Amino acid sequence: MSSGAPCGACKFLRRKCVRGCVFAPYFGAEQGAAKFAAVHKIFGASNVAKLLLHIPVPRRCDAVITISYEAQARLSDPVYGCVATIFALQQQVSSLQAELAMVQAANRQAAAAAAALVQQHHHQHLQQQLLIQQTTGAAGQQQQAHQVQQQQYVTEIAAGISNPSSSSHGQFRSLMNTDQSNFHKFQIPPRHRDPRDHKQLQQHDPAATQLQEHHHHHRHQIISDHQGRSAARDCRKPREIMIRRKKN
Amino acid sequence: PGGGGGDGGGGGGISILGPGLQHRKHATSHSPCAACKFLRRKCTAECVFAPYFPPDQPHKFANVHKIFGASNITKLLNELPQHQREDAVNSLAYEADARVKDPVYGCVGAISLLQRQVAQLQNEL
Repeated sequence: MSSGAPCGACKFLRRKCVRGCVFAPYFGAEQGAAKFAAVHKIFGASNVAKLLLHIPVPRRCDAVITISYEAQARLSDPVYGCVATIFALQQQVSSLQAELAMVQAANRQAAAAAAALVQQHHHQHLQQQLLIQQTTGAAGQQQQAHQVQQQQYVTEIAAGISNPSSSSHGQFRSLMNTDQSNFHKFQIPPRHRDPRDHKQLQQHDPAATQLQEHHHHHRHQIISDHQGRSAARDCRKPREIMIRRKKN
Repeated sequence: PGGGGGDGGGGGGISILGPGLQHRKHATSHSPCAACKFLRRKCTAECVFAPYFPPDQPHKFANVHKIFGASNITKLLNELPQHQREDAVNSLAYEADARVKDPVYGCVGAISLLQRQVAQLQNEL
């Protein structure tokens, strides 16, 4: 700190800048005078000196800066000074807080609506899954039941061929009668007793027709040989003739 | 016992300077303002401080006097029209109170705090 050139404060005050001047470190010789002029007009030299002497030296620089700021603000606005800035910032904070509250409320509503929508979709998805499982399970069970019945049909058929009089034959017949709806899936459809079927056979299967005629002729021969009669004339009822013969 | 009242009339009045002490003043009908009480001077009718420093708020003038000084306040008020003086005194009192509480930053600390709040709210938005 030089003792020759006065500091800005002492220059403004037109006094000797002594060694250890409280203002010297903060108010330089070049632009310190103008800066100190504002401080002096608002606060006064003695008041600022008292303030600085009650502040630790490391913090005096910040104090001078804020004091200078307040002084300049008061010169710019003699009524409110830097308090006008505080009022404006307080209003800005209030408006921003209100805006933030509105945005947060809107976000909460949107989040709640989105959560409800997601939950609804989740429930629908679960229901669909359950429905698919039920459908798949029912179809699988039905298919398993058909397979079991098919195995039973095969077993009964085999039992019926080996022993027609066995009880299983009756069971097979009962199964046939009771499950005619699925019979067609596993068995050749039973032939209907339709006279037209015979004619159709004759028309479409000449070999079968020929074989049938041979059997018919052979039967005729047997009857005529046994009776010695022209039973051929009554060839339409060869069975009845044979039964009559047995009775006789 | 303290207490007292003012008697009506042209200019008579009683000012309470302390408990149990009464003074009869002929100049004004009002008690000395806080400034005059602090300065221990006669509070006249033309007292510039009287309208803005009521006697029930002694700390208000004490802080203003400590930071700005009585003469500076007088100069500032004299440069303003009547209808703006009350706001000016209140803002000066606010600054003085902030500076007494925080000698380093004064009301600039409040400005800095509010600026941070604004920035934080803007970021949240």
